[in-house]
Amino acid sequence: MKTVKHTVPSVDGKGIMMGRKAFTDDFAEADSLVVKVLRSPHAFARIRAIDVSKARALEGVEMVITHHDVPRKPFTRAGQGYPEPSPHDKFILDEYVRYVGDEVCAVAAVDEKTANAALKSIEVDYEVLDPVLAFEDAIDNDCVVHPEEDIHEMFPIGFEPKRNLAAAYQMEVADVEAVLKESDVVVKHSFYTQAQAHVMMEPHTVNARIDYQNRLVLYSSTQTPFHVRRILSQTLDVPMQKIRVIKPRVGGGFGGKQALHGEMFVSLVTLKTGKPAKMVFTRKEVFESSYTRHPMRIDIALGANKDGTLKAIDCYALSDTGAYGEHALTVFMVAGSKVLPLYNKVDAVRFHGHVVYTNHTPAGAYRGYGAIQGNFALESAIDMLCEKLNIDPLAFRRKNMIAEGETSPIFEIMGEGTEGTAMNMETCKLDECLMRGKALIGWDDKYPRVKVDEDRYRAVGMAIAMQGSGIPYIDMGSASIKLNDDGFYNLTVGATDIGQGSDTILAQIAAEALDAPVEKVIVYSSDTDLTPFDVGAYASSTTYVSGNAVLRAAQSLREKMIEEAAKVLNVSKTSVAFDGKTFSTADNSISLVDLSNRLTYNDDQKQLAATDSYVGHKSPPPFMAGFVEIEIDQETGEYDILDYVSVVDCGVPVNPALARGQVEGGIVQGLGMAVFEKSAHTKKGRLIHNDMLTYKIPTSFDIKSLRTEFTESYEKSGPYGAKSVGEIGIDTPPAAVANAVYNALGVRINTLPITPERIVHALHTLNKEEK
Amino acid sequence: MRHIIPETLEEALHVIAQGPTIKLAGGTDIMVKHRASQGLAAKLRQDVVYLLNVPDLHYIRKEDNGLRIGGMVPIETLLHHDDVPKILRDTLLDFASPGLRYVATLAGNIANASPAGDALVTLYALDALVRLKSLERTRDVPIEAVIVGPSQTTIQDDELIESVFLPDASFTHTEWRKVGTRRADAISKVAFTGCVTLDNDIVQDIRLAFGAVFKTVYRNRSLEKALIGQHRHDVVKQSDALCEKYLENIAPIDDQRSNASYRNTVTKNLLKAFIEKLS
Ligand SMILES: Cc1cc2nc3c(=O)[nH]c(=O)nc-3n(C[C@H](O)[C@H](O)[C@H](O)COP(=O)(O)OP(=O)(O)OC[C@H]3O[C@@H](n4cnc5c(N)ncnc54)[C@H](O)[C@@H]3O)c2cc1C
Repeated sequence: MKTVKHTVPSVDGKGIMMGRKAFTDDFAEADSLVVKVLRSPHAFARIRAIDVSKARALEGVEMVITHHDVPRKPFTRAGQGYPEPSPHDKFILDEYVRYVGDEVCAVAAVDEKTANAALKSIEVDYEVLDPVLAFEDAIDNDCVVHPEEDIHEMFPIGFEPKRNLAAAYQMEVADVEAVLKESDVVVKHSFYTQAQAHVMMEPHTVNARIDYQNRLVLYSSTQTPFHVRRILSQTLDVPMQKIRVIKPRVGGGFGGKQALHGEMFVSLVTLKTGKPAKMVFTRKEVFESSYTRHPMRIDIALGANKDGTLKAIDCYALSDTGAYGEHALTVFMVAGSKVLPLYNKVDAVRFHGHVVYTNHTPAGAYRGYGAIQGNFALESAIDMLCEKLNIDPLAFRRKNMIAEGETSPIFEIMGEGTEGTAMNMETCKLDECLMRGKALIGWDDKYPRVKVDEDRYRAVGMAIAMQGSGIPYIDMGSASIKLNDDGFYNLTVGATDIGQGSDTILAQIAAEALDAPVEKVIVYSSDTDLTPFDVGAYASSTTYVSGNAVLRAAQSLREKMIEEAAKVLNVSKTSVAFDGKTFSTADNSISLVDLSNRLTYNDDQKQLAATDSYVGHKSPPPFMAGFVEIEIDQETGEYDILDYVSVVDCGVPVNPALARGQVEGGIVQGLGMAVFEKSAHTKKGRLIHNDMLTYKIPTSFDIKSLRTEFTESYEKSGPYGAKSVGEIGIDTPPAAVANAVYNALGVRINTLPITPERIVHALHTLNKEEK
Repeated sequence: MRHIIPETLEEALHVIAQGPTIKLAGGTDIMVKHRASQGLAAKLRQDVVYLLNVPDLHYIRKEDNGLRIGGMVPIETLLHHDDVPKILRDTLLDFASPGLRYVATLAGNIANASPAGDALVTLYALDALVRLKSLERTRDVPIEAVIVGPSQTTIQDDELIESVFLPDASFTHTEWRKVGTRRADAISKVAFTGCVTLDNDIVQDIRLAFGAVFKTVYRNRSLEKALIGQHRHDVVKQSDALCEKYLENIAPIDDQRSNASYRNTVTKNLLKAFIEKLS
């Protein structure tokens, strides 16, 4: 391959470094009204009365929107398949506010200062209600987060709002309890994960204007522009053809922008006033009023025989979706469906649980999407089981984990909201990943720990993981490609580059199919008027799903070009060879430049173009093994991450540098969740860590060494052998670190983040027990 | 509100003599304290006097019996200055992050009077004297008499920190430990400075200072004094008892960074490890 599997520079890297206009706010109209939202100071309250007269009277205030002024139509902000697996439980504005930071009303003013002054002048009379804050007490609590009658699910997902249930699910293969009873050794343990924040650099940003065709045009920092268009149209009753959503370059999303945030308000303002409007979230709003990861409690029971055969996995998950049920069911499902098949040889497996409403910031999509939570629980429990069995954890995994050619019944049973899709693992290099990682980290010399001095130990820990490549039968991507005079191409895709580099990857795939240099393929992505449909950037789908669409479109254009060349050369199609520059037969040739100019200006003129699309019929999982080495000080419980080794099977990495960036970015974010990122609330439910001073993500000082390798692997169903790589990196750090801490000090931390406080506390308890 | 940029120390002293002002050094505490919502300027409600660039306050000078550091010398400069005691440089290496260190100052750290101020822990251990200057007078005050509680100092409105004096001292062994959430830009959960001088195995001098476990940096001179003159092995034998005594006196709190029980345990462990190194 000439282009794929080669590191080519990002198509947008240089421009962005040069400070060219790229991001949503760069394209806001200079005279935009500034939209600001008054946010609830209470975790749960009913608005008895709201007085906005002072705000309306302020010079420079154009509009104040309260729940009296908006259509009452339940919807979900989640941008996912349609009909959505998320309940329609949100109103643009409501008489109830359900978390600290929830929307009370919105103002639009000539500038930020005036908008803020307007917010201050608004008087709200709240009837403060008892909130549900502890998610383990949410089910059947006296306080009901969603008492209103007019909300609904789109299809059965176990939605019972009167019980504070956003979703519920249960599946079982064989009789788990019976198999557990027969097992020689059983391990049971609960694990807790926190409401991690995305901390994307660009805050949620959107702006709107009415264009000269009298249409509503939005620029939005979104992962799902087509869903934004649909949801706006459905909720605001604006015909879909009147709306255009443009996604410029997005400064990071990680799932946090797989939803609508300011879009409703700027649209309302612009539609009503006819004036352009914009909204940029403050950092506090990003923390408090967008999305978090779903906190979960996962109860795991594993049963095995003495010989190290895993017999049964029983997994109950309780997930906290916060005030609204966006991605409630699907994130929960992934905690099982993209984790449990790792150990596919068990006799029995059960996955069940509940997703509950609480009065916290809503949880939503976040890279890993449930898999990181499930992985932390399962891969920690596997190490606990090995300890009990007195079996080497690597040997145990090799014996029990999924391998190439195999399958798991879970693939067929569990989809995202609906049933899943049966599939065999055409590529699964998990064993190579594990063995290579083991060698790279120096496992044999370091496991379980090495003493450094009186107080310090170095220890290693590891975990394996899988993810998916898009959602079969739901995620659809498409691409159009056209040939221009002078022989270069325009590629338009619905796929959404949010910084992960998909514009580059997709250009490479087209270039490979056309034997063209990458710079001859000009990419334009995600504009609902100009590009074909794509569900958006989520579920590790872009390279696999959208990439396949690009491959098909490019191949079909290539066919058309050869056909035209054959006409010119007066031969049959089959006797024309094309090397990217020249069409040739045994004794004749025409260059691409000549052919394209001729088709444009001289003879038999026509526009050559091709459009194609792709929907997956399976979702080949990428796999990886992650190994961490830590140095821990038992005096303080502090530890440094000395090294993180990732060996990944993502099929063929289309662009090795970008693939590595995805893995390592995921590892760092996963380490953030494992080690640093605290999410705590006051007793009244206010988020404490809501700025970058107090919410600690890892810095370059904390990440000393990342080593990433890719195994040789070729997924036949993927474009040029590729599977996904966007999420898999994030999954292993929590369990790998927990296992390393255990190997170092003999304490098992079951709650994220694994802080020195928790370690010291556990050591204390351990010492007491030993005495 | 006025912004005043004095060019000399003299000028600065005249300005602050006129009434309460905000004395702005690197601003790394002030700007956080007075921050407004995003995109808006900080809400400073008094006249602001910009001290950071007053040349008279930018010097490091050896004097008889010690080193004098001008109040506005950035932390980063101290980090690379050979005359600055090693224990202070060790401390400052863990201070904030490189970007902040180019503007943050010792004077700011002192006047901010946070129980978790990193430089303070070592300044306490080094018996630093703070030179407070007004038009009228100059006074050299021991650091523990300058700081009286969180954000509380004895610095008067018309005074500023002109410099900090570090009396000469040479130690056999020093140790700095900062326990934070991550390796950069993290305020200490617990910080510790230990300095000891031995002569023929006899303790001549010992200084133990703790950050973030009391309303100010905690140093107990009478406990230290009791160890002086003892053989190092005898000191090691008392390590548990000594730890207990410190635990009785410190008063750590629960906050968003950590909790009291962790702070107690870590204080004990750090002290114990330091003492046991004498064996
Ligand atoms: C991201 C971040 C990380 C940080 N990390 C650390 C850390 O690791 N360790 C740590 O100890 N601190 C840390 N800090 C706090 C801060 O950087 C320090 O306290 C610093 O020393 C303050 O110095 P400054 O020059 O910026 O002071 P300023 O903010 O300018 O002033 C602080 C106070 O001192 C007063 N003041 C300043 N100069 C004088 C003077 N000459 N005379 C009298 N009063 C004066 C001011 O009026 C104000 O009350 C951090 C701050 C931030 C924002």
